[in-house]
Amino acid sequence: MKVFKLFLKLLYAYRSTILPHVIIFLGIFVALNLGGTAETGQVSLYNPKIAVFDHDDSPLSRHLKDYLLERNTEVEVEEDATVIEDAIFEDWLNYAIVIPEGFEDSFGKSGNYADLITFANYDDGLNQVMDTQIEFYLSVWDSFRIAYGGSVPASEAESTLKQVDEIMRTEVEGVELVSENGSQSVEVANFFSFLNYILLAVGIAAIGRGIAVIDKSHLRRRDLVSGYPESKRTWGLFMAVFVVMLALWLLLTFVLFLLVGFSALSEPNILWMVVSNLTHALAVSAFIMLLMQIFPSENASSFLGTLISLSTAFATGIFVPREIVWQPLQTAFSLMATYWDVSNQLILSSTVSLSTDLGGVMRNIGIMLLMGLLFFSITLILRRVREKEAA
Amino acid sequence: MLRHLIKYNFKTYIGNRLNLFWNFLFPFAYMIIFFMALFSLSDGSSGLDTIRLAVVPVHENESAESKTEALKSFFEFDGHEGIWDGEALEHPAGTEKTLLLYTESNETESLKWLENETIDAMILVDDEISFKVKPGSSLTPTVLHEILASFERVNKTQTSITSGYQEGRFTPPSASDTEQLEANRFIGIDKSNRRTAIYSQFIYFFAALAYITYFPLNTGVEVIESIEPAQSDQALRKYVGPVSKTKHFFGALIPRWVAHLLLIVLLFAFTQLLNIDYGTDYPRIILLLFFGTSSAIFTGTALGALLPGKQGPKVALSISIPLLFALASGMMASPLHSLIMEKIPWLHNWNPLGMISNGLYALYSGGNLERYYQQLFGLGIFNLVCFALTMLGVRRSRYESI
Amino acid sequence: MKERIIDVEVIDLVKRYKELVAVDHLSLSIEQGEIFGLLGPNGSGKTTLINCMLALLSYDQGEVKIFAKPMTPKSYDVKQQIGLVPQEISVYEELTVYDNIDYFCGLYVEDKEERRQRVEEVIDFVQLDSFRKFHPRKLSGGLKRRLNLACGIAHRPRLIFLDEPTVAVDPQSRNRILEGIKYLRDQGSTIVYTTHYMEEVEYLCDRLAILDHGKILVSGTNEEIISMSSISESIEIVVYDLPESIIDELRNNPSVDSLTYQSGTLSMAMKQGDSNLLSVLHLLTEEGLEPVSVSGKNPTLNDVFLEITGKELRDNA
Repeated sequence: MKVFKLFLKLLYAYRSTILPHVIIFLGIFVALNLGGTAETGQVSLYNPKIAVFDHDDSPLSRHLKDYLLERNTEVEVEEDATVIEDAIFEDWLNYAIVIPEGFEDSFGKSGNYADLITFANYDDGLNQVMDTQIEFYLSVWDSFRIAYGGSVPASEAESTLKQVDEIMRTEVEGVELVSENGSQSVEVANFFSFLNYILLAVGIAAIGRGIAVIDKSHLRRRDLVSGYPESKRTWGLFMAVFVVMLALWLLLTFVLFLLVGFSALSEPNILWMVVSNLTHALAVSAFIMLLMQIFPSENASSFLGTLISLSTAFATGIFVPREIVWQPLQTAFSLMATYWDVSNQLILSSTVSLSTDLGGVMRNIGIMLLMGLLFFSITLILRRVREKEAA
Repeated sequence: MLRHLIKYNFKTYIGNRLNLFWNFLFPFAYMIIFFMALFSLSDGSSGLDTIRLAVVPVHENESAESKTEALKSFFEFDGHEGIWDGEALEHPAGTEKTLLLYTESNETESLKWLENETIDAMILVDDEISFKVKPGSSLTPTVLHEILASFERVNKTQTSITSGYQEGRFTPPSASDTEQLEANRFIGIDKSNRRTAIYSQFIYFFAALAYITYFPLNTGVEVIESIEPAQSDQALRKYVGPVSKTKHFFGALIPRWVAHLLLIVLLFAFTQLLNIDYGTDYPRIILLLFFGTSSAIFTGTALGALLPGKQGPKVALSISIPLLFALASGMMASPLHSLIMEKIPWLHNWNPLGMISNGLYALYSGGNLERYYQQLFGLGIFNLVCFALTMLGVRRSRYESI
Repeated sequence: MKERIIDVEVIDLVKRYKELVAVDHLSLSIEQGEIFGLLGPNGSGKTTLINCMLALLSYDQGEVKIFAKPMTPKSYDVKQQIGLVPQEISVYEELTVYDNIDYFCGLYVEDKEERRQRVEEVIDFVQLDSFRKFHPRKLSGGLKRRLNLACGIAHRPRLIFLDEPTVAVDPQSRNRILEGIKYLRDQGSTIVYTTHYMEEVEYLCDRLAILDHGKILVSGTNEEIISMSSISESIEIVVYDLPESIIDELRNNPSVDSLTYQSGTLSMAMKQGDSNLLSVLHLLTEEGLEPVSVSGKNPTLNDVFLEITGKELRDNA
């Protein structure tokens, strides 16, 4: 109890380390969840943000513009190449198209390509969507132009364009597989993934520092001399680490459900997310104890806390989509429990049939538990060895 | 005297093992892991993944079969029929990666594949086409939706034109006219007129370099610790000596500052060794990094000079502040960059780490240098303000005991 | 007659921390070439006084003059001649013994050759020659203290402030340090010395002041201060089974200032007067008690300190 209380007091003193991480966490969470979610079962289509600059002002260009703005979201942006490119980089614009003067007149007379200036992002898929929309609109128009023998008569232009518009309104239906999870599962999964980063960062920097202080040789010796046995000390410390980690986890998880609603807990896949994330918190506690056993210094805790948490967040797909993370690095970081929990969050957020995916989820939870046990056992062994060496 | 102070401050700084780890080893280690995680972005090999499809004729009749064949032919524009190897759908040997990879299958099997994520979508070919996807990403269904809708639109166009011919609205062209018309048939947008913006995900690279540039905040805190009698015993001893605090400040600042300027050049060279592309305007990049790393040191000195008392909270702040600024710059989640720009513009404008990141972007994107100089100017102002605050704090006497 | 030169003069100094008066209208002067001891329990204002003297701290009222010049944070010509040996070991762990001394000496002596010579001298003086390339973390506590001293005196200051320089030091290093301080005085330096070891003050200091509640209670030479005491001598008698009636009788004796009887030892502080010991022995023998041993000693500084402040000096260290 003595060590336990001391540990809590130390952590209170380290609140300046804990608080900024909690702010980071809430910042990320709020930012990532500002976008709405589609209703369950309906396919959620991306709505590109576009700008159209029509200098031709011909029937064709007007219809094309109307068609594009009808299907996408218009963004106000200055017609300046640099400003447009900046806006695309900064992600508040996805695509811009400049229709030059004389576009309709030259269409079908000067080769196979339409004289349009387009601004797009680097191969991000959205340019495919926009290119397809424009090219198919113009293809349909071109088909009519050819059918008219090279140019659409002026008297027929408006009616032909209306026909083109109608053809272009043809849609196909897309549905998501009916899943057992609700719309909040992606939100909850994102939250838990970021929570993993925070627990690692705060855990090593603050809890780890507490361990380093309590395990300082002179404090240890003083306790031992006063008749406080090492075993009691060790268990007090371990209990304090687990309790603090759990308290932190509980607090932040409570904030999550305050934001997304406690009704989310009635969904089975979200319950599994909670179980998986809780297991991760326990495994990380054991990892921190082992780490501080190997590097028992206050300075190491801040250094390692920052390095390990940032590296793990990048390598396991917390900060960036896992698909773009280099596979060998993912393999290397599968030695961290975080990798397995992020995997579980990904599986559970996109699961269609929980019973199909549950095997994998449980296996990952098992791996985290084993890791936790392993870290814990090694920590105990190392402490014993140190104790004997000191004796 | 200044030479004497600089010499020993340099020795002290270099001789501190913690500094070696924290200020020298950490940025390199971080850059390596960061690069390893994201190098697929830097070599341009990311982009939209191949969409794996199962084409499922809903009915077994001639019309469904012909529509399925027509759809498969349509997919050939940007796709291949895949080879099913028992576990996954693979590109045929010798073909390049395409946007679409498809195979024909029945509904039950396709559904199983979809649930197992062996394919990304199944297309149900009936009188009208529809598709099913797994819940999650919205980009794949958006692209797929556009392609399938286009297929239907092509069909509708053909029907419409055929009926136009039948109604006598159109007359079939002569052979010579056909040749002329075909020569000018619309194929697509002239991509040579495409202005491709820098990939949004590159913000990670700009923000990461900005983060390690703005990292040595603690060095600034340490400068003040070494001269403030209330903060260290050595400083107290120095203060009793006949050398002004200002001279001590510069004596402590200059060697650390120079060490970090050199370090940031080394770190940048290291990023080039890792093949991370920040453009080739090296002098301007380095100038920006110099301003950036100076802003970190001056933020640290201002913190050290203005916040009285213990080092602990200051060390915590010197770790947290770069992390918070990096968060606002998009290093941890790229959408945050634009969100901060929209919702908290003052933070976007005065975030030193953001200014470094924006400056790197401005140089990388080319064009006029106005935006680059704006960021440099912003950093200059930031440095001046921090320096002024530092001097204000340093000149105040707050120490209470020896 | 030799002219008295005052190196440190504090006139009517007042320093307040909000309601608390840390230094209360305090005046003192320290003469050139003397070792001046500053004694006082914790919270007596000793540290604040030194801070004010060294212009580390602003004060509310009064004046501090060093070498007859007002002492301000920018009195660099005055600071040039001051050395400080703080209680905390204020050296750089990252520098070697030689570099540490060279660095601090370099703040005062710019000429490289002269500095090299002084550093060598002081290394020799504190006997750290075999450790010159060591980093402080590899030195024992006593050696670190010697290094701390060397850093404060290498530039041969005229006035040295020594703040408990012998705390936690082995006897060998302690003797070395004390001898060194005497040597510095003999070389002409003025020394302001604070310590909790009374025997050091008695051994070293030419004059001393006892502070409490921000005021000087007494000051003067050892002898002058001891003579101010109302106690003439301390008597210790080992005598077993002393009845309560005798103890009461002794306690009521007008010559006895204070008395304790513990484990067969009777300890008494006697007021000024003659034949104190004889009268006590007479009383005991009359009652048929045989003392096992008898000892008497003159009052010490510690007795005076206790009498004046009501506090044991070391208990407050």
